[in-house]
Amino acid sequence: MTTLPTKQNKKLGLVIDLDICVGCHACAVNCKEWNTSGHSSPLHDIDPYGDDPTGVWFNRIHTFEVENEINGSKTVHFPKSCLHCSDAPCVTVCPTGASYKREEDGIVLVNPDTCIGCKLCSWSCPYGAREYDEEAGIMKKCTLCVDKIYNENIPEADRVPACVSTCPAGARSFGDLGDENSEIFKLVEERNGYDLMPEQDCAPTNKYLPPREKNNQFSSNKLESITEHNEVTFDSWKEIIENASK
Amino acid sequence: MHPSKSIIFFTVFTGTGYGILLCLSYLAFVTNINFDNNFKLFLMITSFVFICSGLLSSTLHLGHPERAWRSFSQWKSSWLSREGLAAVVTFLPLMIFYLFWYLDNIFYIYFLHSTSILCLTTIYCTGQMYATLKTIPAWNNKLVTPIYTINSICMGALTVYCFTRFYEFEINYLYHFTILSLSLCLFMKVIYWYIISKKIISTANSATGLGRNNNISLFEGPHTGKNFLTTEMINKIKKEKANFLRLCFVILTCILPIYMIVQEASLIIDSVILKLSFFLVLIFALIGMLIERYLFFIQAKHVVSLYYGEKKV
Amino acid sequence: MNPFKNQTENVKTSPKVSDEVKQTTCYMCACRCGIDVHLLDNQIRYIEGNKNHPTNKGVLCAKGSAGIMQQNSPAKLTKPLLRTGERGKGEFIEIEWSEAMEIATTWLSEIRNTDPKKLAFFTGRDQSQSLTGWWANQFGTCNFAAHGGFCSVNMAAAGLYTIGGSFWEFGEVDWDHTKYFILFGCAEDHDSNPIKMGLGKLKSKKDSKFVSVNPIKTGYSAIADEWIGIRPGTDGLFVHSLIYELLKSNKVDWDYLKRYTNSNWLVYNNPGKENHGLFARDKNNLPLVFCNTKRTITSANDKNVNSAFFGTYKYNEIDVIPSFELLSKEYLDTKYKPENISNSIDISADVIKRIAAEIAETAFEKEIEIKIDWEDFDGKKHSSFKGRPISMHAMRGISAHSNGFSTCKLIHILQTLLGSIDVPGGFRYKAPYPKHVVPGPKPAGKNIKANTPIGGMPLGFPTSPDDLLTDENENPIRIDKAYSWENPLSAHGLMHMVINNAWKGDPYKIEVLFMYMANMAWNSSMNTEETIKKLTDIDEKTGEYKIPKIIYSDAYYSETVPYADLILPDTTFLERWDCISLLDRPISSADSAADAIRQPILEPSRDVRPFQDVLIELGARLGLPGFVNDDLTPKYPDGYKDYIVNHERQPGIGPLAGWRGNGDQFGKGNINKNQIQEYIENGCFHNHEFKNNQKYFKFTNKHYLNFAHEMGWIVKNEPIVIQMYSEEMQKFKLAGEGFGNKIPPEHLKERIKKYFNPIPSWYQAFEEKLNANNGNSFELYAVTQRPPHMYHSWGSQNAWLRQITNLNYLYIGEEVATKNNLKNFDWVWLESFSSKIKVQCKIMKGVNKNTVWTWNAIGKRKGAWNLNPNAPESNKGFLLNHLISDVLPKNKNEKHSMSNSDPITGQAAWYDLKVKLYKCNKNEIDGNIYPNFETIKNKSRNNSNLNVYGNQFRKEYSENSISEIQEFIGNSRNIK
Repeated sequence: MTTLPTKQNKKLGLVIDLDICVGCHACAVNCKEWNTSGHSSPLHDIDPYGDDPTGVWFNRIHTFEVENEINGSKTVHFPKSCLHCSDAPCVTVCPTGASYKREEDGIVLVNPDTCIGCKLCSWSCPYGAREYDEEAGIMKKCTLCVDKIYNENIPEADRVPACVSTCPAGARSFGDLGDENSEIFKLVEERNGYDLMPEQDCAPTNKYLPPREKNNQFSSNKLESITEHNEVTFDSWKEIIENASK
Repeated sequence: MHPSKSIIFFTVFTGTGYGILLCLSYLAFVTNINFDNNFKLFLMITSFVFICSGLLSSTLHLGHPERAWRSFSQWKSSWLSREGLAAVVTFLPLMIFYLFWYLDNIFYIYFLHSTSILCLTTIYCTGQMYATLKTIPAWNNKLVTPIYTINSICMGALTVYCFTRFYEFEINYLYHFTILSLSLCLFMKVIYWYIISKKIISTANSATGLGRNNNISLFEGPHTGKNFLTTEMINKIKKEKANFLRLCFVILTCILPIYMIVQEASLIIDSVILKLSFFLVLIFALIGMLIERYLFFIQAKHVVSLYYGEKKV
Repeated sequence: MNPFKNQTENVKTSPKVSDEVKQTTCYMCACRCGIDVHLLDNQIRYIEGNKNHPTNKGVLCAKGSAGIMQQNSPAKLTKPLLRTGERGKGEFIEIEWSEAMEIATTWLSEIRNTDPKKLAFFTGRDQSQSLTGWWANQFGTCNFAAHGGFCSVNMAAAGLYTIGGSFWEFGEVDWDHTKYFILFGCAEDHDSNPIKMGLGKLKSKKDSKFVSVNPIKTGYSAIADEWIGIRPGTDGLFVHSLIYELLKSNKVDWDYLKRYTNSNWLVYNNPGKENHGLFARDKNNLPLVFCNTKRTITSANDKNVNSAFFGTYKYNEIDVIPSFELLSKEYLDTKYKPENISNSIDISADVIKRIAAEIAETAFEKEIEIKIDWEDFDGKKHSSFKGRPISMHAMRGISAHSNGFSTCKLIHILQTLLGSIDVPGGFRYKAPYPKHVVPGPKPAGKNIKANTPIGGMPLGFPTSPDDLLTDENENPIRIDKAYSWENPLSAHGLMHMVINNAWKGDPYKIEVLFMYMANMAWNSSMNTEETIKKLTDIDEKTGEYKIPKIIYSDAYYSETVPYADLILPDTTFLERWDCISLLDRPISSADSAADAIRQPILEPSRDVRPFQDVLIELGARLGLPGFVNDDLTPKYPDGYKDYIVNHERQPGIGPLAGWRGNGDQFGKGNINKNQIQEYIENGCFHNHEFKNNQKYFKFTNKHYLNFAHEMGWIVKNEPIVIQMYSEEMQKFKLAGEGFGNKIPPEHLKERIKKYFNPIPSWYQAFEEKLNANNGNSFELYAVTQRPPHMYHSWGSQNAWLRQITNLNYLYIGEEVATKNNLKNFDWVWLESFSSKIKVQCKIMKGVNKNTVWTWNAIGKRKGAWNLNPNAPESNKGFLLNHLISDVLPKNKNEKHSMSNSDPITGQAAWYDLKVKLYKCNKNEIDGNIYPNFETIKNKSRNNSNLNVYGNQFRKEYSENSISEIQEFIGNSRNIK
């Protein structure tokens, strides 16, 4: 249904930990690898060895420099894929019903058989989560690996989105964000997970965990010399050490 | 936003076609529009060609135009679906209107007015499709739908007016209607430009959530080259060029036609030159309108550009 | 058909993923993760990390995830090639393998029958050095090395000459227990997935801190809790200053020093004599200490002696001093006070002091304990492993400087002072390390004879000048001048000097240059343009090329291919057998000894052969001992697979350690014909987990050392003593002073004296110093960083990876930008003492104020890697290599030009580069970089303009299409 489901049994989504993402692009490439042969296959690459290659990606890594006067600059790697919003505007704008949100788990999908390729959904998405495949003439997007997370042909432990299972730093978690007892929900609570662009009123399911602000765990910010004099001389130092050891 | 040629062509030409009908509808209220058959035919063909070519052109930007019929299903929620539906339904009274009008059947008037209502509905749906996109502050604006409407009306009126010059006959009230609609178009556009220059919906800070007061700059994007998002949503135009194009629109679509209409008597002596001049005025006005639509897209920033280096949108 | 009906999708959530899952080892970089390759219809459907694999535990990086596109690369070589046109023109004819093998055999046998060292055999990103080195040995040439000389040798040597193990991938942080981690000069590199996993773990702990010391804040540094934006090449000074702070406040683990290091060993203080600075030894040649209790000199072996750290004593009438007194005296010099070095390293004194305080607090007040009974080598029983949870790791940022060896040694000394080597929470050895300092054997190749093996492996570890490979006139024996007085401890050879030396005929001319997988005509060479000239230079007298014959093996059409005479096309990593061996660079962790294999997943679709198979066949054709049976039939007729199972380096020890004997023996045992099958069934790796009481303090851990000795990893079953004070270095220094059997040539004496020190200290990098001497001002440092998704030059042929990065900018700091009035994307000139390049710049914040940088190896030559000549890689992407000279600027009065390398190890000093930057004039901007080389001709270039990979698996989903409307217009996916 192109209108949003009235209820959601589950809110499956991702939690991305900006504190430990090293920006290695593993999630983006593994996503492409799974999905180019998956539900929305193929994810075409146009001019792959030429002057201006471009292709369909469901997940991308941006890197920002965040600066303030007190802490100076910080580099933050920022992966971004579909946030599977509860109030997904990409669903309601779709004229054909190809873009829809599943009632059973909240995953937003595009039906490749009915999409007319009008791109309106991509205009309506604030996050740039939609990927028009020029060659196929249809809109594609992150499926939350719907063909992996329920896939009975693979071991149960592997039934998580490709970006999650491949992430070397463990910066990505997957689960039911609608379940207050889930690990992932608690993680978001504990780490003050937040929404991107809340002012866009999309109620995104995916959450981001901010870089941690580490408190100073140390009791002093310099070491005291064992010699009384400010200037250490080797001989005075040696004498004190030798005396101490006796 | 990417200025898709097919969509620009669609809004300008279908809009003008609808405008002709809206103009006729207005004239039918205030005066008699039982014109000479040739003139009727001329208006009918023009409006029909404009409407159809625009609509056909709009399907060209679809990845799967052959599936366009599917877009009727979601009228409950999608403005694009409603637009498609309204555009198709419009043809029903339109064709009857053409027939009755040509045959001088007096019932044409009902079909003309119902066509006009459907044209307005279609234009409204089109406008709303843009105006409800919160992701594009320049479009998410109360003036967008009225501008679509006035663009259509003033271009329709101007077209009819120019045709009256070719045919060298007068229609009451058309003179004022045309000048008024052109002036209103200009006025609304200027206000619109002012509003969009001030409006900000989202910032890089809200887009990334990395501190409300921090200075956030993009160090590296996800690709060194282009991607769908950068080609579709992130198009930039230099301010000087945009201002020049705005001026072109103002002159070509508003000032020049009004000037010609008002000063016609003092400017044109020869009837051939008169016809040629108004033909050119119409062409220029259409070009101006194409420019205006081009700017409507190219100057509209999408919030996704906040992930590609823009600080606020 | 009802157009108003809402058509729902019937999503197929359980499509078939694979007919078969085959496991093998990734080769998209040097990390060597285990991968599960899903095959559907004999094609790769999906590659993912192997959950059971000790290296990556199921994760996989961007490179590994793009393996499909590497297999799909248009640059794959397809058939043996023989050069027909001039070198560099890319004119080849395709030949059959039989002909190629005959040509190679003829060329090589001629040399072997006369003077085998006329073969220079150098391999690049080779993961089979145990085979290639042994092949060179059997051939009889000393001229062998892999690419370590321009990569990692400073780290390997500094570690092995100090602690018996090293950074890089040979050791790891105790991620589970560490509380404070300092990462020096590391962008994405070897061990990359384990480091990423570790950082994720570390950062998720509440009481932990991660400090990154790096001029650039990207990659790992981005998530550091504190970034120390140090000036390139000055890390050693920073470490000096930390040591100064720790010493002056007595934050030293005295017990650790006493038990596990040579701090108490007595050193002769006998200036001007041949034993000055050497350890005083008893008649059994054992080192001595002074017992504070008995007030006598006694053997260092007795750990229960209250041995002295300070004082001057007499032994055989000569003054002897505990080495720690010498070391602490050196390190307490006030020149290392934070205030005195702050300006040289761009870090404030307060920060240095604070870091030192934090380190000390972590080490000495947050001690951790793991309750396990264990026994040290002296028989002392312990009920727990006590650890100081401060850990360090260092990579290329330390290594690629002319002071890298010393800097790395300083880091090891800092770790040792803190007592944090191989303890819980510290830095840990991976098997087969630790080894005794210095590990044997010595480099072989002193006597080169026709048709005779050199009698050992070409690479080894000299412990004194006697082990150098120099002739009676002290001239180098090797073509790369490894193990000569120019760089005596060049344990990995100097691949970066081979082309230059062979071209010059210095020390002699060679006949055949045989290379494997090394892009020497591009990003693996310093001064690329000159290197290319040397490859094509013709000897006027003979009319032949100065390097007469070049054989090259690679899987892809790299920039080097056109410069070879004979191309032996290799397979991809998914089409071959391989062996990641404990004899070479295994995949062990600190908790286990592990090795791995690769198995062919796909049949090659081209006429290519795995290089190792080819090498083994060449060995047999040449009749090399070890490659043929007594009757001269090939010993390994089934190629590398055969060799992996049936080769024995020593009785019972072969390339693979797992499932030996009857399949029940690890490490040592008879040949097991079923061994490879066992590996395959276990996911292509073998992991021997150590017992809990073997896991820490391996240098003294009795149960570990017994086991390591049994396995043949260590030669003597004795504890390994950390060599804070290096007697080996002193022996070279003494030679510089004129003592010993071998004395350096006159022009190198000062250099040896100056840089060989038993106690390492920092010195200024050479290029900077020589520039200053010559009165030139190149005020900026220029370095590269590894993009995490690219491995050297390989990534650009990969349709997915190159979409992420296909061009690079010169990143500059805001200060540099303001000073030169630069905006983003402005074109600038970057000039070093030897060359200049024109590139586009971008401004960033997280960079040291005196440093400019770019991503490594993105720039490609036009037409290489089968990319379109107008590809961004070739027109916007650039290398810094053009600016880096292979030889140093000469001092005004100097006759000899020295290589741009570390004086001790010969490590290429890539990051010593100093530059000046200025804005391009308007008329110089043409939208292209400079230098821009001519296009490589390549007839095989025929690229598709569309990648539809995955379409072949569409059918797994097709049945979910709605049959009711299937026929109706607009529902076929093929309609466009």
